[in-house]
Amino acid sequence: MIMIHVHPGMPQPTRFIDPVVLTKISSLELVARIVVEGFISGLHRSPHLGFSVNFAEYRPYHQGDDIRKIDWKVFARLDRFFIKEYEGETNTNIQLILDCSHSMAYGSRGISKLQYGQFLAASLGYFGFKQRDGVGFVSFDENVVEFVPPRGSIGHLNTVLHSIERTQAGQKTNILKPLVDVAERLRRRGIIIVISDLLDEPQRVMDGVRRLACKGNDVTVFQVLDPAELDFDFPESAQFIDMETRAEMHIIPEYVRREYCRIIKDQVAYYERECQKDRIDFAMVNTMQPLDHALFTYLLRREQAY
Amino acid sequence: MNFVNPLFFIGAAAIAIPVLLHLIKRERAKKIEFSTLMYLRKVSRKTIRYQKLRHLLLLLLRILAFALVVLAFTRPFLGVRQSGASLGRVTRAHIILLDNSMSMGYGDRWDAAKKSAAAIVRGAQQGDKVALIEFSDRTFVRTSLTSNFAEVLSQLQDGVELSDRATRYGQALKIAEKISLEAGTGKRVIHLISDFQKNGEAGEDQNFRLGAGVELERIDLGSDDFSNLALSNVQVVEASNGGGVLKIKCSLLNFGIKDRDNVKVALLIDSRNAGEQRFRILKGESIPVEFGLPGLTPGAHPVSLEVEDTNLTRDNRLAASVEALSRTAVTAVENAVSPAEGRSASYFLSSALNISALSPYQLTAVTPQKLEAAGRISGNLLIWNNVSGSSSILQKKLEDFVINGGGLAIALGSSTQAADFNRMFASWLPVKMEESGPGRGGRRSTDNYVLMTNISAAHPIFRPFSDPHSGTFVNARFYTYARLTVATGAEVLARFDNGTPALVAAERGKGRALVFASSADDSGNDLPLKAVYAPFWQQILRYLSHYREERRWVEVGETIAPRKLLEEAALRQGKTVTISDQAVALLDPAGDRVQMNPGSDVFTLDKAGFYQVRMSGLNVMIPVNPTPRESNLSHGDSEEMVSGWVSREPASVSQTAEKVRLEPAEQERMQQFWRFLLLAALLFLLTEAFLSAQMSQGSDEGMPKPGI
Repeated sequence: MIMIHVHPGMPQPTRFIDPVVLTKISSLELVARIVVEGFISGLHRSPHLGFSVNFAEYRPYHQGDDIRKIDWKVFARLDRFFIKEYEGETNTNIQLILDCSHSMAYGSRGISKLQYGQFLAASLGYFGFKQRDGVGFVSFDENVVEFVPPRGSIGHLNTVLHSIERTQAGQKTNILKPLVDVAERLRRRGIIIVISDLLDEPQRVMDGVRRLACKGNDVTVFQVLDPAELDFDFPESAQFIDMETRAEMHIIPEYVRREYCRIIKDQVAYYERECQKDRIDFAMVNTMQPLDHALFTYLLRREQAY
Repeated sequence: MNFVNPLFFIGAAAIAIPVLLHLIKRERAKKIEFSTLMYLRKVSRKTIRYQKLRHLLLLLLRILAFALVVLAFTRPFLGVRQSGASLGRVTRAHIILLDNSMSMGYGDRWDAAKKSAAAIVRGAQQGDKVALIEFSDRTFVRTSLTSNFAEVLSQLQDGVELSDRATRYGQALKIAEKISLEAGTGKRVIHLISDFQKNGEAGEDQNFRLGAGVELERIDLGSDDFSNLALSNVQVVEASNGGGVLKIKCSLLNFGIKDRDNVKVALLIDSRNAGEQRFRILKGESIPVEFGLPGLTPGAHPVSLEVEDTNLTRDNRLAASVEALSRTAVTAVENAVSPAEGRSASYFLSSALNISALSPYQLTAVTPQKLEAAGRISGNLLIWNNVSGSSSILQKKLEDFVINGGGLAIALGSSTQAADFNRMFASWLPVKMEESGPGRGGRRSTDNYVLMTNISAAHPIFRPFSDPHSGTFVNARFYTYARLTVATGAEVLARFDNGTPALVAAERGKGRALVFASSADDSGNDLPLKAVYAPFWQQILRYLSHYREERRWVEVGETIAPRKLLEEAALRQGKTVTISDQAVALLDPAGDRVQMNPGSDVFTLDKAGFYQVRMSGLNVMIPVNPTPRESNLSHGDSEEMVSGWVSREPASVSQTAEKVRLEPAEQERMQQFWRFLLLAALLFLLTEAFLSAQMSQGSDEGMPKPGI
């Protein structure tokens, strides 16, 4: 059963789906479809001219239409001009890059950041595929774990979704190195979507992202954070263990909460500011935030951008 | 501070609640895996310390609030006079016992004692109180417990003075303890500043102990290393070769631990040097010193014996009074005796009274006719000795003589007839002689006699004979005696063994009369042949002359009655003065006039030397010497002495503190303290709530909001 949340601050009757509910669905494709079905067709346009191969419909010729698109066989039979239209398809490649470092395994509300990232990557991949874009997938921790180059064929979607689904939390985070690696492997410009918690040195993170952007790629960064990472709302003192380094630290949350929140806020603001400088889209998503809402808001912003 | 409901202190356990919560919260720290500690490490340590401090402040506020609530419920009140309790420390009551006995004059002990006392006063802190008591065998409170330390120091500077008195600790300690109780709460300390003489602990003080809670601190200025010479036991005696030569004797004592050579002892008579001797005296030795007294003019002479010793000068002089007697004239009235009749009636009396140069009496015999012819009876003493016949002129003369203070002794020999006696004396004396009796007219025989057995031994006349081996009258036989009838107003001092009065005393006016029922010679009895005869008649004359043994000196601390001394002196000198009407001056040894307490007839002698009691025409000198035991500076074990005085019961100060009872209204007022405590607790709780809320609010601030 799918629960539909209606957020009071959101425009009606848009439906949003609780990410935790999505975790109950075993098929990632189904998850992606559910999420994407709520959208209209792609909001972005292909930056390149290309050819379509899949027939969509016929329509009457209007003045100004390219006469090359007139189907002469239909004119011969009906003596009327019809334009043969094909399903809109771009030849843009979407490269999904998912952080699978160990810190992404953290989740305090029933869904980990990695799960959320998987859902997000799958949804975006499915959505891209629906628009005839080539979709690729990369997962990394301190190195590139899996690299699936983008393809536009129907069978490739399953490959991508399968790769996303089998992704597991790996080792430590070293975001610069894998991003540089990916930037060197990509030969064609396209859309690059980075999904990560960005829990690394901010300078190194931005260096990595800039390497992706500098080749003319349209880069979008999703910073996925858990509510506990944002609020640090632990009720009592505890021995906190770093999931990647296993270092321990005794923390009384109420002592540090205020300062911690300020640091996180500054961090997010830093990424926003730096990304804006390099015309990189940046979005911080909370794992408790509905996926479709995140996509909706994101795509809406992209539409406005183009 | 006291509490109305002290049981509420059990509620103080509630203070443990916030502490326990605080600790439990720390102990139960569980392990939480978190994505990264990177940002947590960036949280400044300063912030954490500040937060910890605020939390500790909150904890403190909670504890304080609990404590104040508990305290408010116990309803504290100040049940006793508030002293320094508000100062947050135990206050002290310092009672300084300053020994000013004569022995403290040895060396620089007195200065050291005053300095020690001043140091105690200067060491007292705010809220403390100090009392100053000087003591010897007399205790004098210079200042009661006071916070005015300047006043105490002023008394130490100018008020206290060394005395010639002996040391006595018990009485002083009792008074100090009593004063310490006035301090109420707080610590009570008695500071005993003394040389801790062994002799200072009087027998009656042996069992004395201070109450529980009173501390006794000693400042021992004494030492075992001392050397002191003193004179004591002065006596004036007749030289053994007789001849009326007197000599003065005393003992020279060396109390110190050193032998002394070439010690000079001088005699001063009337403040003039009358001789000196030099002695070698070993340590602990006592040697006799003797000076002959050259012919002195009649009257009292101040005599001093002085030893040269610089260590303790106050006991160097021994004062005495030597009276060169002008002998008291005694007139014996007797019938004229022809040579054929042999001895006169006063033969034995004359022998008994004119016995030596030391005898105070000079007997002169006169006939009744001669006495009648004389204008006035000279002297104060008259013996009517077996006189026959009567005369109204003589009767009047004798009566006036007695009324004006004269002493009349009547000896009833065989010549005295009852009718004559009754005519002469019965009208003004409560004694009557019977016409005939078993003792009258009887022949003297060895078988017919009576004994004087029933004697009033307590009477001054017979007191010297009351002790064993001091003389007896029972071996005297009375062959002839008069039968007397005694009326009211007369006292029978002795009776014969058949019950008839033997010696009757009566008073008339200022004078006294004695009637002896037998003769004064051996015609009616054999008393003149007994050893008690001369002292008996001397005692009779002493009684009739109101004689009182004059002491040659008194000790410091004794009391005198100046007016009484003057009366006795006047009587001895045969002067007729009315003492009560006249002003009396008392001069101390320095010659300064001493004020006597109004309404008091007695005065305590404080200083060694010669006091003088003066009145118009009369001067009595009173030699005063220090108590001999005070010269012995033997040092006691002060630690042992003090431990014998302090209480064996360990008690807290509050247990023995004297509580001041308060009126209910005042008590209620003092108990209102709880309201302020409760208010303070409320304020603490409000502050805690405010701080806590502020901290919570602060924690929620700055949380980043998700946004795309």
